[in-house]
Order: sequence, then C-alpha cells, then structure tokens
Amino acid sequence: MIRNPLEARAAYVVGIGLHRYRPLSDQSYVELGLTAVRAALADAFDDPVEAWPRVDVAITGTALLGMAPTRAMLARLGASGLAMHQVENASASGSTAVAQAALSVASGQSDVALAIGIDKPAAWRVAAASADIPSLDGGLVAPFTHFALLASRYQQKFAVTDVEIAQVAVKNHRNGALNPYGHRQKERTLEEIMRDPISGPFTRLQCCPVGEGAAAVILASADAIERYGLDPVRCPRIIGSVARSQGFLDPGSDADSALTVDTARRTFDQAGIGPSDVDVLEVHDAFSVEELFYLEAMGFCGPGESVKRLAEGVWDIGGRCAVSPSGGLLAMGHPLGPTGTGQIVEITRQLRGEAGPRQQPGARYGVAHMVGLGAVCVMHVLERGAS
Amino acid sequence: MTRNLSGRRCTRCELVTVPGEPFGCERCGARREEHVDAEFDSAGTVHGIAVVYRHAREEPPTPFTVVEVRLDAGPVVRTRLVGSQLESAGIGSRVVGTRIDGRVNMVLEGETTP
Repeated sequence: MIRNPLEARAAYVVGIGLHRYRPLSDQSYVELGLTAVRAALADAFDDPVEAWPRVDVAITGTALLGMAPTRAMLARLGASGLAMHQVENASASGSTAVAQAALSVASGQSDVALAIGIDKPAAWRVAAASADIPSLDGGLVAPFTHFALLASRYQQKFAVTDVEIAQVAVKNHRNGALNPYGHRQKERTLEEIMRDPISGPFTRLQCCPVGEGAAAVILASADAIERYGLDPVRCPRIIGSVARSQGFLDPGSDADSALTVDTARRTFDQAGIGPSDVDVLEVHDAFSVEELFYLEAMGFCGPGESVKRLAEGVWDIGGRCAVSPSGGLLAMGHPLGPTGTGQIVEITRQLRGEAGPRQQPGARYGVAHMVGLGAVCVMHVLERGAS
Repeated sequence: MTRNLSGRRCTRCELVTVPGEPFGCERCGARREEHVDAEFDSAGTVHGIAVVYRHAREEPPTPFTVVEVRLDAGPVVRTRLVGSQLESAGIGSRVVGTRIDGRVNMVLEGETTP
C-alpha cells in the first residue's frame, strides 16, 4: 500500500519568485536563477540574506543546462552547505523539483526546501533518440505534428473546427497580456492567431515559445512557519502531488489523454477534491488543442465538450474555473525547467489573492498539470492558506 | 508499392511491432529472445493526418503530409503520405505502403507509386 507522506506531515508554499520568461539572452543562467530565488526568499522572509541558511535542501529542475548547475548558482547566496539535487524530467522537470521538495518536507528530511526551475535554450539531446529504438517516421513527427495527428482524430470525432481550437490561444494570450513575467505579453485577435500555419490546425501563436527564465518556490513545514513567524494565510498547502508515466495501451489509443486521466484520478483522490472544486488550473497547453484534451481527461467536462465550455467563458478569469490565468505555456511561455515551478508560483499568487488583474475571485483550490516527453505527467493540488 | 513490412512478434503475449521492437515487450516485458521476426501486409486505414507547413530540416520540402495508419495486421505506424491526391485523404482512407529511398511511405490505395 503506497502511503501519502503529505498526510503525515504537510508542506506549504511560503515563498515564490520568478525571472521573466523571454527569448534567449546573453545573461548567465546564474543571474536568472538568483533573481528568482532572491525574490522567493524576500517573499517568504523579512531578510532574505539572513534567511538563506534556513533552507535545508535545494532541488533544481532543468532539461538543458547540463551537469551540476546548482551550486555554481546558489553559492552566490552564501555557500551554506545545504543539500543539492538536480532533476531532469523533460517539460515536467520543474514540476518534479516541486514534488521532490514537497516529499523532502513531508518525510521530515527538511523543514525548508527550495525548488528551482531554470533553463536557457540549447540543443535538445533526447536519450531515446540515440537508443537504437527504430521508427518509421524518420524524424518527421515533431511534437507539434504529434499533437496535430491527435487533433485530426479529435476534430473528426467531435466535429471541432480549427477556429474553435484557436480560441484556446485567444484566451491564453489575453491572460498572458496581464502577466509581467510572461514571454508573450500581447493580446491577440483570432485573425492574428490564425496566421502562419505550422502543422495541422496549429499556427505559430498556437505553439508555445521556448525561451529562457527561472522560477523558485520555497516549501516549508508547519513547524517552520511557526518558528519563523510566517503568515499562514499566505502559505497554501500542497494537498496533492502525483507523478505517473504512460502505461501500455493498445496501439492507436489516445495515450496522452489516458496518462492525464490516470494522473488526475490519483491526484484528486489524494487531495480529496474533484474538478468541480477547482478555481484555478494551470494546464500543459504547449499546443492549443492540448488544453481541450486535458480538461476533458481531468474531468472538468465531458468528452468533446470543452470547446463549448470555452466559448461560454467557463474557463476565463472570472468564469467557473480560470484555466491558464498566467497565460499558460502558449503565452507565459515554456522555457522547460521553469514551467512547472512557475505554475506553482501562479497558483500561489491566485490562492493568496495577489494575482492583480489576473485574479480569479475567491480562489480556494488550484491545480497544476504538466506533461513531459516520454511521456510522464506530474500534477499538484494546492489549497488556500488557513485564515 | 510494397505489401510487406518487417517487424517482430512477441511469442509470450502476441504483440506485434513495426518496426520490430529490439529490446523487450512494452506490453508483457518479454525479452527479445522471446520475439520472432514477422512480416506484415502494409495495407491499413488512416487513423490521424496532418499537413506539416514548417519543419526543422530541409528534407522533405514543406508542405508534406504525415499519417498515422492502423495496419490491418494490428500495429499503428506513422509515416509520410505521398501521391497526387493528398487533398482527398482523410481519416478512414485506405492506404498501402510504398518504398521511397529505402524508407516506407504510404499512398492511397489504388494510386500508383509516384
């Protein structure tokens, strides 16, 4: 029987910080990371320099930086000798860093744990691509074409048009225009979204930009919150944290949706809530149609219904559940490592009521969902801090 | 046109793979020594289709069409759809394999190989 360690010892988000997501620059990753970590320390504690030695462990989620990036970065906060790990889990690297940091607190190994997501654009070296696993497609199926193939089946099955899919991007660019940390910060008309085809129904603005950035989340136990005199209202609790990988399915099945179905079911079971309780959802919308797939897979609506709900404004900020209020991967961006950690930053802002013009009124429960190449899926549920 | 595709069949759970699985069975875990060579008819039905307008490499020139095909023999493969009537292709279209430069592509059934 698998036990949920978060039930025995809770983990809370006490500090959040970001470096803006943006196209590749000359700036060192160290500068990007320190910006996010210092912001998270300042958010959590009165004096970030004094508070830094309180952090027991740092876990860095990165897909592209290479070997041993963490100490070169964090030593510049004062080399405290804390434990350091690095996790690589493709697009879900930053989510996995948060999951591992939560586990560290829950297990009692640490009282204060730092999760960092960080990356700068670089050549992708995908292990399986050099593993002598043969395929017929000969590299023709880029990720956007993989999802274009799935989209074609979905569109035929539920009579969904290209324009209906593009409306996901209209919403997420509208949200992203309100996010000063986003890669793309411009509201777009449907006409603009529909320009510049890439693959299948996707256009350039329906594919996420992959740039650079950093995100940091500080997690702490209830003991640490009390010891350091932190305001519990500003500390959402992690009530669900689940990671899964794709199981075997019959050839031609919709494996991507099935993976999210499996992960979501376990995550909601662990959290003790359901999709109808969720006020804010950050979803893996690397390509516009994915948001529709995963909303249905997570049970936010029935199969084929998500475009209707989208048109009704159900997923808008101020609707029943704000979906990708940050702008999501499509607008806030997808710098790989930072993305999953950044989702927790956005949800924390929302649950604190500090999201400014992006604020979902009365947000109590927030869910973060990331998928990574392979495929893997990582989800978290956060509950507003107790007043 | 090529009717034959080479693959492997797992003797433990009967899962068939094209191209042949070289390491171990994804369904039951049987090692490769328990897999045998198998030949399959390349005929199948389009299960997914996408026109690609942008591609990182120069070859093939864009736009080109990629299909996911459920072979009558069971496996699902992804490859390029070639031929002169691509606009008439859709989910449910019948296709068959054709070998171009040693690589298996698909054409609509009844069309001649380009």
